[in-house]
Order: sequence, then C-alpha cells, then structure tokens
Amino acid sequence: MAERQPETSNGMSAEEYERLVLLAAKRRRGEACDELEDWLCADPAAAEMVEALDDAAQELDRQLEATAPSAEHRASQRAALLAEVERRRRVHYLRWAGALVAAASLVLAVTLFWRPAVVGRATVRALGDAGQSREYDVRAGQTVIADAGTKIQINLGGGQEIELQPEASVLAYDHRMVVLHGTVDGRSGLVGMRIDFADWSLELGLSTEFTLGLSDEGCRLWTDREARLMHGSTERVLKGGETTTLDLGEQTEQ
Amino acid sequence: MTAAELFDRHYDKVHAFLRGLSGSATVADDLVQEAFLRVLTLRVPEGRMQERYLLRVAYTCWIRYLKTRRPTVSLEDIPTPAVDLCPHEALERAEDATALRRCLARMSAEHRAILLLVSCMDYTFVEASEILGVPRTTLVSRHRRALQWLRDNLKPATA
Repeated sequence: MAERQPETSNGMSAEEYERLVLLAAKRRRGEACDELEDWLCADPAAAEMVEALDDAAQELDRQLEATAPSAEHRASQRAALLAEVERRRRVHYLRWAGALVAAASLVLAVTLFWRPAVVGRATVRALGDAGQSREYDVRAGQTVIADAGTKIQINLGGGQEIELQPEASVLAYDHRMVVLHGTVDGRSGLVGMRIDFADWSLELGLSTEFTLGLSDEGCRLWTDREARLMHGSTERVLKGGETTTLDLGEQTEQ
Repeated sequence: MTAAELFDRHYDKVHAFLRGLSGSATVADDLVQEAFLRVLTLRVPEGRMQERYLLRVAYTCWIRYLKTRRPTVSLEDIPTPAVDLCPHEALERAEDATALRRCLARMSAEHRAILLLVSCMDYTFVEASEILGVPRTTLVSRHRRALQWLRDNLKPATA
C-alpha cells in the first residue's frame, strides 16, 4: 500500500522536504552537493528553510560541544554505572536467596510441626437410597455432611478404600446428619477419620475397618483394631476385632 | 553483551542525545545512567538496531523525566563561542545566537528530539522514526513544523 505523502504548506511534498533536509545535512557534513545548490538557487523558500535548519543545527552542535563530558567524567560515569549494575545484581541474588531460604523454612516448618500432616486429599462418594451417587473431593480438615441413609465410600487415594457397610446407615441415628471428618497425610496416604453421632465421637485410623449396627439393644460397633470412642469428657478404648454395644439412648441421657 | 561493552560503544551518542534534549549535562548524566540500567534489564538487540534501541529508551527516560520535573535550561551554562569579529558584528551575532538558543530551549521535547536526530546527529527520517516511535511521514511533517516554529519565533527577535 502506498504511503501517504502529505504536502507541506509551501507546496513542497513530504518526500521533497525529506530530500531537502537530507541534502542540507550532507552539505553541513562538508560534502559537495550540487543538487542542493541548484535547488536553493531555483527555490528561495527552500533556501530560507535550509538556512534556518543550518542555524538550528549549528546551534545544537555548539550546545552539544559546549556541554560534552570530559574523559574523566566519562570514566566516572562508567564506574558509577558498573557499580550500580553490580549492586543490583547482588540485590537480585540476595532476593532469590532470601526467597529460597523462606520457602525452605516453610517446608521444614510444615514437615516438623504440622502433625498429623494434613496435606493431600481423599475422595468421598456418597450413594443415595435411589442409587444416585455423588463424589466429593475432601481436602484435609474439611467436613463432609451427608444426608441420613446415605452409604458412604471413602477412597483414600493410596489404593485403599473404605466402604461403610449398609448398616452404617445407623449413623443417621435419630435421623440426624452423618458427619465425616477426614484428614489425609499426602505422603503416607493415611487418613484419620472421626464420626460424630449424637454426642458421641469416634476416632479411627485410616485403615480401620468398622461396622456399625443398630439393634434393640443399642448400637453395635465393630472395629478391626483399637479405636477411641469419646463421649463428652470420657474416653473409651475399643478393642480391635470385638464388637462393642453402646446404649446410645442411656448414654445420651447421662 | 556486558554493561561495560554497552557503555563504551554507545555512551557518547546517548549522552549527546540527552544533552541535546535537556540542554543540561547534569540531567543528561542522570538520564544516561537510568537508560543504561533500564536497557540492561531488557533483551538488547544486536547490531545497528542496538543504538536506535538505546536512543529510544533514552528518549522514554527523558519524557518520563519531563513528566516528573519541570524542564529547566540554564542558558548561562552554555558558553558563547569566541568570534574574531568587530564588536558591532560580534554583538549582533551573539544576539542572534542567544535568540536561537532561547527558541531551541522553548521548543517542545518532541520537535527538539526530531531536529537533534535528523539535523544534528545525522539519522535518516526512517531511523529517527524508529527511535521516536512515530511513522516516517508523521516525523517528516513534524520536522517541518519544528522548523517553521523556529523561524516564526525567531522573526520578531531578529527583525
């Protein structure tokens, strides 16, 4: 596409003006320029323009020469620049080093003091009575609330899976909500799980298998290993491989 | 390219450009440092492009400087060159030079930059347009306007 060439006020096109300026610069550099001389003879307006241009250029040249830095000044400027570059480089490295130390400290602090480690996630799948299912990603420390009568499978991520038995619906004791509290150790894949029902709470290790059942006698609880059952401020240790019957009604009345 | 190499290769041009823009060696010193430091944090092109790139960064520094500070030009700092003329002629010349100097000092930063690059530092319009970031045709017409402005403003003083 052709470039637009606006005309200047005295009828000279932009292209001609550009040519005139370049020829004037050439003459100022001391090069012979017959073309310019002919042009200026033929066009007084151009001659005036070039004269003004030469004056301005010479004045600017004079100013530049008058304020030109000495060799010593140049050297000091160079030294100052290099010193500043070096300083900035050091600050840059120090910032990176500081960030790395801070990150390492954070990782160390988490590793040492965050126990049980609550990093990672587990997947909880809730199966409704009508067969519908829904999956939740549970982050460490999150609480999952499922409706009464829901069967719950917990995939612990390490190839381990816990499925609460159908009897687990008893967790919806008294049609209350079932609350699962999952914590995950990302590195080992272990989850500590707590189930609250009524005013009881049960703490189980990740790989603990357990069954809850409801009968006329109360709530039957079986775990494959030792677990802690808490009721208010009292704590009861459940033996692994044995079924414990809990009279929830009586206990809650106490 | 290291900072020292970059400095050795381009300091004179960049400093002259900034001196011409600001009319002050002190301001040019500060802006040269700023321009070089800024360029060193960027990816600097190689070859002839490098010089234009640096001048463009220097021009940006100058514009930024103008926005943060009022431009000042100390005319007394610029010595008038000694001339071997009769007193009357010398006085006339000095008056003309002073008027021209005042006009150049009052000229807008953009016009001054264009005059400097094209008429003083011998850059072509294409190169100057790259440095200042404006189309070539725009630059030509601005150069024309800068010259016209200069002539208009010199007329009353020299008449």
